[in-house]
Amino acid sequence: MEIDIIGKRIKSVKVINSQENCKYYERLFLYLDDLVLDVTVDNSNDELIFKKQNSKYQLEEDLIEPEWSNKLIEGTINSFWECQNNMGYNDLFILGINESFPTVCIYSIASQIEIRMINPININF
Amino acid sequence: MENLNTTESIDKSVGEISGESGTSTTESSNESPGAGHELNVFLGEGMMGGMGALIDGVRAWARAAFMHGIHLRYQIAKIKEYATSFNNNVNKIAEAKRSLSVLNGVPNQSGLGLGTTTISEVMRHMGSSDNPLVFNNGDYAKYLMSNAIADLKANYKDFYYGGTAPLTGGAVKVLGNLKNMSELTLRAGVLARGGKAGNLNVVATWLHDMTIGEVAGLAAKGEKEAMTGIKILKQASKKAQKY
Repeated sequence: MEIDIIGKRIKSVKVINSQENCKYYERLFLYLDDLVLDVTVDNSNDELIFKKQNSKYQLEEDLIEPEWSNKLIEGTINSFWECQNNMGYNDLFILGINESFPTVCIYSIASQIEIRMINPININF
Repeated sequence: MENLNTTESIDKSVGEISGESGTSTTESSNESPGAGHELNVFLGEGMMGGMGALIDGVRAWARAAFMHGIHLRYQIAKIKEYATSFNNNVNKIAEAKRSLSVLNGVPNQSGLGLGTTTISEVMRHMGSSDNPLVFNNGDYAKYLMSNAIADLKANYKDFYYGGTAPLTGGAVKVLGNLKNMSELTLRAGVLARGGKAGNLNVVATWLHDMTIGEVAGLAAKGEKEAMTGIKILKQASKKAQKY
């Protein structure tokens, strides 16, 4: 990714919900220190598209701050991975927040964005 | 299909063992006389406590067996209906076939329990006589069948009306540039986009012969298997390498 996001702090996370299902998102905005990372999906091949927006970027649509966003806010992006699947499409983006290990997965499927947190295995159970 | 509506005459006789009037045997013995009532009288009131579970089990089995009959007869009736009304119209018959295959893929609708059964399996089942209840109680099967059709119409509009259902707003968004493929089946779509039939191995079989529009409609509602189907469709062929 050409956009420089390493070492930047996440100030806010906002989403546009998918039309019929609020578990998936149509668009995701990561508000960083001096820019906004705008994540959408290419609807012809389900690849993730990243755009850099001005930090004052505003949309006419109402953006929602999802409940889980508090887990990311104030975190620093240490590393990221752009992943290619078996068919050669970039449909997975992984962020390492506050550590260089993957912590958040952003995945695109059926023109929608799905986000999952990666939790460590508790080996002391 | 005209035979399906003559349910009144058989309504009473089958009400007892249909399972819809309640599964408790003591309840059913208080209702209007029928097959179940006679069974209760035959066994005697004293035995009913011990026999209740067994009778319930038999009823459940009978219901499941009849449900299979319903689905088979329903499909055959649909074939006949389409064949007569759309006689010599090749396009319409193709459409009918498609909607049948769509129906065939409905997952476990209202206890029909057919799941991923294919049409050929249904036909084989119909041809064999391993299910005598279906054949000995044709009227009862018709009665239940008409109920099932009403249920299908009411609750599974998208399936019942097959490929003719218009695209929902969500489906249009899910499909994006692939909107013009919505009339193809998922299988045909994957092949048309340069994929192989084997690509569909990871997609649930009941989706293979549904139209892309219908799969997209389910995907828009968050149905995981349908979303996988759309993904396989969109990424049917390997992406060209940059280097």
